[in-house]
Amino acid sequence: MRALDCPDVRELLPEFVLGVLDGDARADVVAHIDGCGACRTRVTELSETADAVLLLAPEAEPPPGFQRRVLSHDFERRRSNRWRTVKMVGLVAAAAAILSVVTVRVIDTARSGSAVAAVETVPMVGDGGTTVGQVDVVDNDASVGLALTVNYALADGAYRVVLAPQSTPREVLGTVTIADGRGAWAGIAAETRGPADLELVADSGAVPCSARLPVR
Amino acid sequence: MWTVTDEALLAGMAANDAEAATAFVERFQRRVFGLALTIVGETRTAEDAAQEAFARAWKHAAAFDARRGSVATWLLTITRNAAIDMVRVRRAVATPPETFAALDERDWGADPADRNLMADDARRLHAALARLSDEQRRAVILAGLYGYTAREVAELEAIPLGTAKTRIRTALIRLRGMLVDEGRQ
Ligand SMILES: [Zn+2]
Repeated sequence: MRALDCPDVRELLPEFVLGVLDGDARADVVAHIDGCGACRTRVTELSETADAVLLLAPEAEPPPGFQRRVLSHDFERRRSNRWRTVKMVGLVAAAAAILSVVTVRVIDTARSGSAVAAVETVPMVGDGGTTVGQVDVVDNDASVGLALTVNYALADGAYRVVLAPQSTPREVLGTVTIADGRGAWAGIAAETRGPADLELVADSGAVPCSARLPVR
Repeated sequence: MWTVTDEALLAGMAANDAEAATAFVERFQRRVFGLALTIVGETRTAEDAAQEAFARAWKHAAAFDARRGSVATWLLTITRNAAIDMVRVRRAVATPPETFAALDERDWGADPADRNLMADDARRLHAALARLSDEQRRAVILAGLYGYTAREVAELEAIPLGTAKTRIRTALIRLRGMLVDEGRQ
């Protein structure tokens, strides 16, 4: 990868702060501003303006009961009668199978514009709601395949991949290494009940990002 | 209750204080839902996105850093991301978002009728947007509000990718200049 210099980065910053730069270019910008104070300052300035654009949306009254549903987490219950957790069956062969399913999905999506129904993609969300990557969830009969991709704004290093169900104990599914802001992992979890998050856990115990897994 | 700052409500929510959480949702729900509705264009999905935004805010409340911006801005950015995550998969790139026509056809010469939390900021933004060319304004709204990439803007506007990138870049930099000038006066 060719390192970008300041003029290259300045060209990309408007799209970067508007959150519409694709994964690779975004990672290049992150790598640059990590070590460049001047460009980092420019990011702060342009971000203020990008944030202001959100004020264009008019206020709107939410549907009746919205506040109660937010506060009671009724939302989760409504969608989550039967998400499952974990007994790690994780085999290399199984992981490879999931990745091939995901690949098929991507190809299929590109061709027809519609996704294979068995795969659902959820965002991996970091501090401040930044989307740092995604998890492709493949629903099989007795197990759930998980394929994790991280491509943005996560510090390099090794992270434990932890399944954190609400009703049963957390379980370490594996480890993912992030280098140059990117990394990928795939594994299998057996199904259990209730909502669950997939978290990345640093050595310090910090959880820099997590994904809310879809529930069925 | 109205004298409690946004930051204090957020801190209370981070500590799982039910009263603070209630006040927080009460204070921001119309803004959050309005933004979600603008982006996804449909009530039911907008409600899901708004719920998800509050769930994310709740979860990350302890990580909020006041030095990096206001609570309202932070929450709206979370809302935008949650809403875009929900529509990205099913979005037909060749069509504009459903709510875009109203923005596009707005009379930019007139004062905005918006009644919202940050009415002053919104009015300044409106005045600045009014001074952009139509093309630049469309580009920065599509990218900044709806999360359209330069490639999607290019497809939608039937222009080369480089032109779309230039429009987005020029529009944001001009907006920045105008908002800073305004702020100094
Ligand atoms: Zn630089």
